[in-house]
Amino acid sequence: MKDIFEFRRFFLLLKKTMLERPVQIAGFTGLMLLTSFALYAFCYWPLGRLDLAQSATFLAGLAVGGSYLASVVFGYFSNNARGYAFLTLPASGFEKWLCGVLVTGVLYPAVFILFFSIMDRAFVALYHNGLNPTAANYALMTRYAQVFALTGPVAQNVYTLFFVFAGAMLVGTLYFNKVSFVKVALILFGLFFFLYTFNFGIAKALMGDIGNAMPFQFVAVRAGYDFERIELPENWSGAVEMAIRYVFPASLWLIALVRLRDKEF
Amino acid sequence: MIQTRNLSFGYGRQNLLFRNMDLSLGSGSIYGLLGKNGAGKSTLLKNLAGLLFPSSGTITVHDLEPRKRQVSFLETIYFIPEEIHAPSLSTGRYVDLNAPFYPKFDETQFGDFLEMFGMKREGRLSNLSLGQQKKFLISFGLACNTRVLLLDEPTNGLDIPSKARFRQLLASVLTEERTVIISTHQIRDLDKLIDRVVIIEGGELLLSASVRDISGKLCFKTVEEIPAGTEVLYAEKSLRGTAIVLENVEREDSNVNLEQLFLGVTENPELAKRIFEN
Repeated sequence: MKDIFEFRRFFLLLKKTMLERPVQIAGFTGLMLLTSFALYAFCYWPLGRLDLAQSATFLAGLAVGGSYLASVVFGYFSNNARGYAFLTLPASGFEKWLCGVLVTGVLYPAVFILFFSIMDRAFVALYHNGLNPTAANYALMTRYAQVFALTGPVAQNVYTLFFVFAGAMLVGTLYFNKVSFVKVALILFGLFFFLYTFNFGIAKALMGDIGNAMPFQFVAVRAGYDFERIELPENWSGAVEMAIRYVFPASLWLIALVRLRDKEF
Repeated sequence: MIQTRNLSFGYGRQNLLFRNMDLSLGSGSIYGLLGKNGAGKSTLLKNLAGLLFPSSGTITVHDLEPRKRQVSFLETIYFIPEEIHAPSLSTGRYVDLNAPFYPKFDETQFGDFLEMFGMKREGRLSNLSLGQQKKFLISFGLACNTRVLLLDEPTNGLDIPSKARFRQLLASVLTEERTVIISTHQIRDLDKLIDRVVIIEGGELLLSASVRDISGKLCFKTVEEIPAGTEVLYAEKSLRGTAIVLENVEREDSNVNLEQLFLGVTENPELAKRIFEN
């Protein structure tokens, strides 16, 4: 057991990880919070779109920021000496992995979501205060501006994107020693583009006039002047959703553990 | 005890750097790992440190397999690579963050080693010169008191006084339980320090012997002319005659010249093998 996990050693490793690279981890987190604020403010004031401000900021801050941080936590291998020092440090592969998982999958999301919630509530309150209570549409406008639902469908999709992208980055950093963020991002976009195009091509060949075809979700087929969505049967869609939301991301995060243990450098 | 059995390793499947190498390295010695550029000295050290895994065969370091990188193994070794990692931390913070991972780290010893190198514990590690960073990390590595110390070209980047202090320091920390393996092509820097020599070339182990054995088996001398019919392992013309290395048939006392030994063994591996098998 001592060779796998020891609480004291794990705490030391976490401390070392945070303090040895303050710019990359704490600095980047701070920068992401500032960027999120700027993006929210930009969507809110010049564009006047509170809904866009909420979803765009949540997506950028959590999925994009979290993915980048995931590429940093195991980013020791862009430099030979740093890679040797990391791999030969007397801590187990599991502890090193858990440390990366804790920073990327727990600490960063917790800090970001806390900041986002406070910022979102402040902007929504600002919006409500700016409304005229005597106006005829006051009730309608108040209902329009609600605090972003952290358990709503948009948030759930962002969580899935975050866990998939961050997991892919953790694995990718252990395969690509240099510029891993860019390489993994290119692979992910390439894969999505291929899947989307391939799926669209198959759907078009089988169904003729279609408007859109999202892999594993729906096909929009022309029906008269409009398009109607054909979705997966409920029992299938449940299984697919389970695979995309939980099985696929969990597999990526676990592959990172196996890869870290077998990493040669 | 460090042992390799039938160790084969290559960066590609076709191109093996080592083939079925058997090696036994005991405790209480400083081993000089010698080889030409690209012979695989650093690669062998990385295999011993668990950074690279054998293609086939086994390695054990005090009965632990490096490729598993168990904590108990990692606490046993300290690897100082040729390129060193000096994070942007104060020297004190570096020690605070790294020393707790090594159960036998000795703070007083560390201070003494730094003093021997004429260094103080102040400033940021990344602001030090390369030579000072190296001296700091060598001192840290020695103070970790691991049973195995692996050093890859440790004298690169050190000035002449520091090389001398490095030799003194290393000699002072050698204990019966400790194995020190130094990979180097700067043989003269460590001539008087190494007590066992390992030479690898072309994927094979050409020689693994103690300096005492070498001086018993070989004779290093300078002659005006090479005696007719003498089979020499190595000969080199100099101003004072010809420096030769030959089998020590007459049991003469001579000082081992590691550079000539290395050249002789790598140029005449068959003859060297014959001499050392006798």
